[in-house]
Amino acid sequence: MEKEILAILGTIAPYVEIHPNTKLLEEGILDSIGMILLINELEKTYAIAIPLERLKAEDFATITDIASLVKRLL
Amino acid sequence: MTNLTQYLDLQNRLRKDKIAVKDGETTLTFGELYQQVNGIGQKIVDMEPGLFNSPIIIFSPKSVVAYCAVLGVLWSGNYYVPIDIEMPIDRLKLIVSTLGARLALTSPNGIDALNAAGFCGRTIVLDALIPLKSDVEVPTGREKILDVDPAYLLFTSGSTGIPKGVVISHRAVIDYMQWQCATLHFDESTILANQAPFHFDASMPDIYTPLVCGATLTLLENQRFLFPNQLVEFLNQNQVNTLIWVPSALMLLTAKDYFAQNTIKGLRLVMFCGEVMPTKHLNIWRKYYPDTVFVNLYGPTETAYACTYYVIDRDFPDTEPLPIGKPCQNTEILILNEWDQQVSPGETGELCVRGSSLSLGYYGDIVKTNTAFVQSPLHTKYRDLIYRTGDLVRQNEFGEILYVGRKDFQIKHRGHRIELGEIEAVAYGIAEMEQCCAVYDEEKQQIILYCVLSTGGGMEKDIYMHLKKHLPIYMLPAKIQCKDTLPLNANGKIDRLALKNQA
Repeated sequence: MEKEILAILGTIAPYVEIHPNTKLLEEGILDSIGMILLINELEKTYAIAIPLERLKAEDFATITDIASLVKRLL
Repeated sequence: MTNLTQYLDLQNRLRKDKIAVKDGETTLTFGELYQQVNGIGQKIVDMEPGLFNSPIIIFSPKSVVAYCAVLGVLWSGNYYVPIDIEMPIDRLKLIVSTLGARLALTSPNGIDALNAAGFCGRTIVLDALIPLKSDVEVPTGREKILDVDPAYLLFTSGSTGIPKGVVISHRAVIDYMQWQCATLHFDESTILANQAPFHFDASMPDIYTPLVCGATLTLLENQRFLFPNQLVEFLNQNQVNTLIWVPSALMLLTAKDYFAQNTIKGLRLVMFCGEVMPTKHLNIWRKYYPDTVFVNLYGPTETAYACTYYVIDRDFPDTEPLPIGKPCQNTEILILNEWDQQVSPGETGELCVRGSSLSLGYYGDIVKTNTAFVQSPLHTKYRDLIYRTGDLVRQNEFGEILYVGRKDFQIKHRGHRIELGEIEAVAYGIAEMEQCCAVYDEEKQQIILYCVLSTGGGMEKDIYMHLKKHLPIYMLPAKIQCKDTLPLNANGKIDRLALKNQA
């Protein structure tokens, strides 16, 4: 799943090197518009609904965090 | 009023103990703000006695301390130049050398970048609020400011690759602020949440509304927009009732159905300017906030935030564009055709602006200034300048102005004004670049750079890294495509339209 998420991030932030532990928010790889694109793609790819009222930074800090968020919602 | 610092005197007299400005850490009343601003003004004068009507750089993330610094510069009789703390070094170099400023007010994390950019003036480090010695005010030079003197200078994208410095006078700001506060009923119960950074002219009304009408300003860090659910909560905690945001920021809250979970309580007024607000998104806002007043404003940086406005007073289908309305107070709009005559009703022409809101011109660039700010073609009796915006507009059956498009290759992307030519100019700095053309895909809101390379291709990442060194993040292309040739039009020029259709 981490690989799939990496591919999604590659379309949102191209030409940037991203590793499983890259700090996506701290390093500014995910900005506010990137977040929307990411949420939409995750919802589409995994047929999940990410609860909007509970969005928080811890779940999007790294690819690993995003993957565990998705796994919880599957 | 003849200069903006007088408004701070006024608020210090009228409501010393009311909250003027706050961020996550610091809150200042008007009385405290007055002391801070006075203190910074003194510090500037102590360090550079005699510096008057000169540019002073503000190089800092947004904070209450930076807000005090902005006003402190005015207090010293000089004008401020806010620069993005994340500006790539090569662009910073261009700006620093164009400006030749003698003084910079910088946050601690900005010192190295300023030095690396070749800044050789003196610096005042903004690390905290300044300790206050006494209430005694020593004259700083602000008494000598005329309303035609500059208040601030903002750098905006330039088509030849060099950013243009737009100089705005005290009078232009005063004119706009007086109109805004009276027409849209701002008063001391107004609580604003500032979205735009200070280096962006969309922040101008946020900066001055507290001073002019005693409103409270809450500064929002950029990070707040990552999680709109938390943002709405924060706005409610701070009892924010007025938003002056760019459409891109408003759209972040309607891109997903956040308002179904939680809404902004007591929202009175939402103003937006800087780019086209898609009606579809506005309609979502109106659905959740039927009692809120929504205002669409229009204005280039060269006319101090806005020169036309439209208070949304009827329903628009999702696909119908919003009018930009009618001129603000003390402003005249001329719509001129290619022979510099006023168009007949309904005909498309270039929007030109008259009035004291006009910029004083481009810093150190008399040629560009004289091209954009010209004698009104309607007469030659006396000096009467208009600013040619390059925006094409027409009037509808209600006499409201409608935005049609651009005369040139300037675009609006995420609220920022970008010359596609500036991206191309930087891309041509790559040795292997033979031809390139930047286009904007409005639908996907993406900049795409098409390139022809002497190596044939395979350098997308290198090109991206090169651009990143020279351009702010919002100017970077989302896609770089190498091609064998670029399509040409009948005149032998690169066919942008054909490329755009490929996008």
